[in-house]
Amino acid sequence: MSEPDLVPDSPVDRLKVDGGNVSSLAETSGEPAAAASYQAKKKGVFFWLAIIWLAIILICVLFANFLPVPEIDERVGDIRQGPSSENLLGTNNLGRSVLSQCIYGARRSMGVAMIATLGGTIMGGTIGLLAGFYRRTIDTVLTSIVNIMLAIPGLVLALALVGFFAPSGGFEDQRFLFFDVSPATNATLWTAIALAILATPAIARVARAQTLVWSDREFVLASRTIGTRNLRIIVRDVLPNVLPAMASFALIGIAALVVVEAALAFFGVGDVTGASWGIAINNGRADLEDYPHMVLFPSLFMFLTILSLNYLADKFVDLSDIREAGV
Amino acid sequence: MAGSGTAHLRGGGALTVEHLTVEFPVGTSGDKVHAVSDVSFDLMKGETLGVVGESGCGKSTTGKAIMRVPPPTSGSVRLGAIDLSTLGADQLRDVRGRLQMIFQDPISSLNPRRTIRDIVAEPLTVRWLDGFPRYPAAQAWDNFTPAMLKLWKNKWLVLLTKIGLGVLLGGVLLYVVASAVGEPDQFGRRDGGAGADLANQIIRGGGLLLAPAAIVGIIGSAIWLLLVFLMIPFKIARSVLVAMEKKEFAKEVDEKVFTALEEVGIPAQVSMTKYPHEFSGGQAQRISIARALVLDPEIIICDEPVSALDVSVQAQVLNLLEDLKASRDISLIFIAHDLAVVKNISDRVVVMYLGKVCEVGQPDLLYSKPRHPYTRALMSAIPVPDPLVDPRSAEEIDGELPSPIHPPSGCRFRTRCARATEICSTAEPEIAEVADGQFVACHHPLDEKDWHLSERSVPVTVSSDLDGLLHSTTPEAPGGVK
Amino acid sequence: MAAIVILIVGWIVGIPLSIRLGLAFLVIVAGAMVTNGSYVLKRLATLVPTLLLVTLFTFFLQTKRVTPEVVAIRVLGTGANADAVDKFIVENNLDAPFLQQYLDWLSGAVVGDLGTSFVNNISVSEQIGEAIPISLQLMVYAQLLALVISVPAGVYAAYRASRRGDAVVSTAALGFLSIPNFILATFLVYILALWLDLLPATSYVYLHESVIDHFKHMLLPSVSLAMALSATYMRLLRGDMVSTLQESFITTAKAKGVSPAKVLWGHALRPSSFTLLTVFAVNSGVLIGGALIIEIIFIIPGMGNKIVAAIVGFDFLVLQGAVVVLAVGFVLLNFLIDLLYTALDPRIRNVRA
Ligand SMILES: Nc1ncnc2c1ncn2[C@@H]1O[C@H](COP(=O)(O)OP(=O)(O)OP(=O)(O)O)[C@@H](O)[C@H]1O
Ligand code: SF4
Ligand SMILES: [Mg+2]
Repeated sequence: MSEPDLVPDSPVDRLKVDGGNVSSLAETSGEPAAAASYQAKKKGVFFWLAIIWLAIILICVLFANFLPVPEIDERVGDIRQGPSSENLLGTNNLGRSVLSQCIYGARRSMGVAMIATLGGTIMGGTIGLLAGFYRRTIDTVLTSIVNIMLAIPGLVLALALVGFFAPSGGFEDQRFLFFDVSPATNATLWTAIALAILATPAIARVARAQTLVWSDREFVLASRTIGTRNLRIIVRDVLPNVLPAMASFALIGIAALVVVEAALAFFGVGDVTGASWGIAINNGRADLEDYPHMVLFPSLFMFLTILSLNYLADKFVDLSDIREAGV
Repeated sequence: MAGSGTAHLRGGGALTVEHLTVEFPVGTSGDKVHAVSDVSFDLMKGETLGVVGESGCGKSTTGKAIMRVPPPTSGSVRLGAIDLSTLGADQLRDVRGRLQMIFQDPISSLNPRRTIRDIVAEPLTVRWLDGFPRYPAAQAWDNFTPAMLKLWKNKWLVLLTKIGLGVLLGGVLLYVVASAVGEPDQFGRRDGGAGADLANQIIRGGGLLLAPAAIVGIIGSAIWLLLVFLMIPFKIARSVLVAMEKKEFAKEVDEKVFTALEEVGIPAQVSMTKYPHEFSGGQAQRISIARALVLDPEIIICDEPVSALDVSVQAQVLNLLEDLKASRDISLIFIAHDLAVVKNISDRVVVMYLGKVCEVGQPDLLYSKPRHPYTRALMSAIPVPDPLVDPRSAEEIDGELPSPIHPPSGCRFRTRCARATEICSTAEPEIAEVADGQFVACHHPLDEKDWHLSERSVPVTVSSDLDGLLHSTTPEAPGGVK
Repeated sequence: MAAIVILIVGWIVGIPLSIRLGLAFLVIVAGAMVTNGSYVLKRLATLVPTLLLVTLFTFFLQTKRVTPEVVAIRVLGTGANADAVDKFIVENNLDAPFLQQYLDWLSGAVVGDLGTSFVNNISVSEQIGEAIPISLQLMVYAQLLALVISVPAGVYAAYRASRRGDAVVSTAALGFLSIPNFILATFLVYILALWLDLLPATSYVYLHESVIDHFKHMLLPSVSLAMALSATYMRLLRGDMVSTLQESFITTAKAKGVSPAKVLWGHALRPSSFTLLTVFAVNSGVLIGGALIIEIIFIIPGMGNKIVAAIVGFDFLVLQGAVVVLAVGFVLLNFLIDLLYTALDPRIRNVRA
């Protein structure tokens, strides 16, 4: 999405009205003008704070090894030290820097969630666009596929996929499709796939609902009457209009998948050897009573990230009726 | 009203519509919306043909069916001598330029996410892109897809698959039931006995029945997948080609878009890079007209092009259409529910009711000497600024527009027609010439004494809400329609 | 209603949970059948294939991934000789064709026999039967708690829409929405249990052992689970209510001098709660996931811990049984809620009929 789309009361606001999203309509239409300005003032600060925080996280994801923090598995001091000047956020039960755990954890947690969301958006978006645009048989078939995917609760599906395909501490030679990979890589890949599969049906629903609305617009008819091919209509006329809703849903999708990724660590499935927020929190729980910092800081990282994502998504479209379709 | 027949066709028209029928399926029960049923009319070169009728009578659907968005359920549309329904996708694309449509809602006619320049240039862009050679994989895709879809929809294959699925499901259920009642052995296995054996056979049979569908499905998908992969390199090569020539093309197009916009009275210089939401409804409609014009069409179908606009703007847009028609030698089909508009600009008017044609003729004839009871009701709804007219004598039609899902038998107007008799419910009136150039589909057409009665019996309010007029009860006093 | 009566009476009389649930299910379906037969039939027709596909899928995951040899070695120990492995495989029917295995398993499953764990030789159904009621308890408590919190908060926020009160409540909701339940749980444990020592940190007490202890133990888990839910519900209710409050019948009521409280609770709440109802239903998927994690943190012997134990112990039959039970329960629940919804909302009834 290009930057202008991110600006509130750009076409996204119009989309609220067009999208038949009743409750979002209600939220915007009903408010007195004075209140609107009150919100507008607040919007500025938090909006930018959220953006800045996400930018920081993104830097962690992309450049974790270039940041001036200790290596992820480097022993930097005694174990379970509280925050101090040399170890800003303290050390964990292996004497590793908690800050490093958080930063490298961002790479794993956010990286997996973002890739999975991207994959889910591409798959779900394609399904939704095709189903909504062509309707009839294609819609029936795709919708029933989506419904079956939705028939298993999200976390349970992820558990089943990752638990069966990448049993932790399992057999030495694991295969990812046709490739021999290390168990850790295998687990991470399967986690990403499982999360992408989780995101797919939800995004497909959003995309389909939006496509149904937009492809009924007369400009789509107009494009047909001038002989535009279907693929071009989908890409030029429908997709750009469906994208804002999908993008803001994708933000929520990332937030939800970060949580699932961490939850998997609690179940001990997936790669439990590397660094991720979930693993850090789960490992720290054992020493919670005496050394809360080992849980606190990764939790804080996670909370702020999810909060920023939710807040931004809120700012784009109020996704009240989309959220529950999520994980 | 509501007649079929082609007596009013003149032959040799620029556009001839015959027995046009459009039905939409509703729900899964097999019911259909009979939006347009057996409608025929023709349009001569240089003519303006008005199409009127109350809201929901199928005017827009008629226009769209002519444009084949969606294609009609049955009936023919001939552009000159070319029957559009016989054309393949590519030929149809070529012909589309000669026939254009302007839609009812100006704002929704423009993609909010594209610039005015891109919107107006789109017809040219599409044609320009079509000029690039189609690569073999895409060609194969184009040929393969419809064939495959047809195969998939093959009646027998679908039936076989359905039966196969049913058998399979039945077999599974039988097996499960048979085994479930059996006692588990020491390893927890249950023996279903004869029932399970039978079920195994049934499941196998079901699998066999499903085999053809599976084979078709797997092979088809495999070929599609292959084609997609094959297309990727071609697609990239083509994009490079397009990108190389794009600049030159853009310059050329900019000029054409510029002239088209200027022609419809949009300041092109400042508008090209703007987005639709920056324009008013009237301007948006002009932009739609410009988009239709860039292909130099012979015929433009205008679907209530002004009904969403302010009255003052309406006149401007109507004048623009009139001017264009004269300067570019275009024939117009002008759809409206506002008779006053149609009356002034049309050479000939078709009156529609519930998906059927009632009456065809010159507008002033229809106005002063309506033959069809429905036409008279429509005409009497045109406001007349004459305080002496007693609005209480206004023609009224009682009741609601019947459901197009279950239209009345015989004449579709009979449920609301004061003249309806036995025959109206049994036989559908055929369209017939009642006066020179005036055709009507009614068993009991009006004549002179009826015109006398109805003349000037018109309420005084300025209102284009025909619907409201049709449903209103007797107004209390002159000057208002409740 | 009749369904709830069955559930409660059955509980008192002591009928097993699965039978109670089954009976209640049948009663609801029958009731819906009377009011809207064709729709129920249509949904039932899609229900059976969905259930088959869901079970087939989980079965497929298990058998395709875990070869018979692996299972055998896991169970018999790495030192097992080849003969023993072969014998194990044949005895347990692990070499049969996939579909055959599935059908055999399914035959057992429909009469409640999910097989016997290779690892500890305890019936899978029995293990799950112990765990499921505990998980259900947790979910029900959480849902109720979420409603108790969200309805007043949502009504209040809508009433004070866009003023300070609303801003506070809405911001808090956004905050709670963004705290993953396991983080909230962890910190609740830290503050309330470990630090202030007000409530027990972990473990579970059966209701019949001690009612007070039971709720003491369930309070923290339920709260952890309920906060994010109530935030979702509150936001929905607020949104719908704000728009309801704009409607003319509300203005009329106000003009007639009806007190604000009565307008809010008496007139506006009901028409505003439809979205909430649907989401309340759809949320059960989120709820199931949440309950599983919360159980792990509080060491509650529900489905979550069963799943962890199965994963750790390579007890795939239990893992599969648990996944199937949860998935099937979820599908059936959605089905029921759909029926209830049609009964409540005449629009759906008319459109689909
Ligand atoms: N895609 C569709 N699916 C089902 N029914 C449709 C569809 N499009 C139109 N209809 C129905 O067909 C009938 C004719 O509709 P149409 O839009 O052609 O009327 P109209 O004469 O243009 O009315 P208006 O003056 O309001 O534009 C209506 O009853 C409408 O509900
Ligand atoms: S008189 Fe009969 S045929 Fe003529 S319009 Fe009335 S009902 Fe139809
Ligand atoms: Mg129309």
